[in-house]
Amino acid sequence: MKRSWLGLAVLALVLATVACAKPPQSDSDAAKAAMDDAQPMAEKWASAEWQAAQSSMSAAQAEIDAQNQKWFKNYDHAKELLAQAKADAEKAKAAAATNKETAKNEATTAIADATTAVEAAKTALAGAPKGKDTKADLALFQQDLDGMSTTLSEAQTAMQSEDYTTAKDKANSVKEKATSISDQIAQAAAKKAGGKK
Amino acid sequence: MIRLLRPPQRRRVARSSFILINRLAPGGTARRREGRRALFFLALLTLALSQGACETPPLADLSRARSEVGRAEREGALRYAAEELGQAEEAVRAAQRAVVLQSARFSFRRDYRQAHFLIQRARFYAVQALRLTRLRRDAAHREAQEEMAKLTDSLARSREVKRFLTPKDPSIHRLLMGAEIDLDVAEMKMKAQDFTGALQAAKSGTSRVGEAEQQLLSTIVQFTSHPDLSSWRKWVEDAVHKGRGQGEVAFVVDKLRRRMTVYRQGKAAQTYSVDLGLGGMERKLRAGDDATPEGLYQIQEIRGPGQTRYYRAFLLDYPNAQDRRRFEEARRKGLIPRGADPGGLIEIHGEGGRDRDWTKGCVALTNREMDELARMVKVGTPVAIVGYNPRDQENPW
Repeated sequence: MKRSWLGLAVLALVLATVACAKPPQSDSDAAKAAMDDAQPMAEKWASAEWQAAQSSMSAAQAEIDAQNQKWFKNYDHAKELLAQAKADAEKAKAAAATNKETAKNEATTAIADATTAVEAAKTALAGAPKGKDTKADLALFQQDLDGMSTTLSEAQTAMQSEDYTTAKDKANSVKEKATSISDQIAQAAAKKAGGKK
Repeated sequence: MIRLLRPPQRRRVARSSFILINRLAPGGTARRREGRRALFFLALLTLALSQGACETPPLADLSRARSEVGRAEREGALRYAAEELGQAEEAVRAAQRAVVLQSARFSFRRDYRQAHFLIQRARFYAVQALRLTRLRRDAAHREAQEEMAKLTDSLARSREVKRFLTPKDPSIHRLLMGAEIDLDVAEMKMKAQDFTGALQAAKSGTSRVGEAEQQLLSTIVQFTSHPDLSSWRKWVEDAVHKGRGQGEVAFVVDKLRRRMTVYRQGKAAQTYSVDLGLGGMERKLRAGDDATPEGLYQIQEIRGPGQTRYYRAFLLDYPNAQDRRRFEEARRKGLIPRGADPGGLIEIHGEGGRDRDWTKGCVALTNREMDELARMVKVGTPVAIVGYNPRDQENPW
């Protein structure tokens, strides 16, 4: 009987001590490091994946918080959630790299297409019938195409500063305008204009 | 001391003292029982104290703060209120650290006041970030729309500007083409909800149009104080005077304004927009330079439909004596190639109204306008072609 009372007292003391057990710090640090590593790229290039990683991290933190206030602490689930957060952060980083590469490729393709369209328009311009009635139009087309070449240079500058969206938008606009010039030249070629003086 | 007490009190004190002595004294069943009870109460007291001393961590508040930060992020705080969002995130992290730190301490020593403070700080900044994000995003949206409307207007005006341009104004053309592309980019960014990007693109376009207009204005200013201004004035006055003397009309072509004014009895009666030679404001020197000549001329021949490719035509007496003198002078100075001649066949003719310069030096109007002019023109009608008509007080822009 005396032993059981003593055991009860010891258990009470043990419980008081166990209630203050430490959370899984190394797992938490690893997950946070993965998040910090992913953040710069993921925020810009994989916002959905980045938000998922942030949610996982929040869930893990909440679980740690919940365990922290329990008498019988069990951080196993918190560890799983931290591992998930770490995996999500790594996934976000990988997705960001992929998305960035995709955006870069799209912008590169758009610039290449626009350059091709401008060159095609220049070729069409060189072969267009010249006369008093068309000379002015052709000269203005040439000026427009020169302006488009300048814009393509700006698109290249945007590429260098990794502003792929702007580069692509500019290139797409140039492509549309250059194609329109080619179409107009083709229509003009259908009509044969003669010079006067 | 006991003696000072009354008898009943003495008895109670004596009994209590006996019990206490028994508890402390070794051996005896009663003493053991009392000892166990004391240990039991001690354990209960420990439990109660440890429970009572464990302050509850502010998890609900922390979770609320996190969700508020997340909401601000989702609404675009990273773009529109990055500083406030950063402060909120930092405060959440610090609050989390404070909670973990306090939770890890012995229950008697836990103190979550710092965590509470940091959570409040995080929530304050999260709310600020959200508020500023909405304000700035709406402002950016509005500003982008306004800037795009402004650019659309200035581009519409630039179509008028373009009318005054020739292929010899490449920088202005480049600027206007760049502005058109900027407007396209702004529209694409608006569709993608990137209001800041749209605003930036629209501002870039407006700036290009402004630069193009400045260049054009400087050209106009040059013409309003041109060295030939006195000659232009004289030709205009001579033509108007000659027309009035003959009781006829006089035509004055203002190259800068792309406008022809019909003077009747010395007064401006009608004005018409005209298309000039590809050389625009250039002054004709020789055949093939596509420039419209400047000088005082008269109509030599009137050609009706079927007699010209351009509906109707009034042939001018270009080159006149002054044009030939200028041509010879330019040739002596080596300004024109050998074998060149001053050219000819400069007319006022139809098939115009194209809102741009396209002829090889002639002045073109619409066919309907040529019909009107044909009713008032005669061989010998004076025609002054000048860079800028000083009699016209209207702003050339």
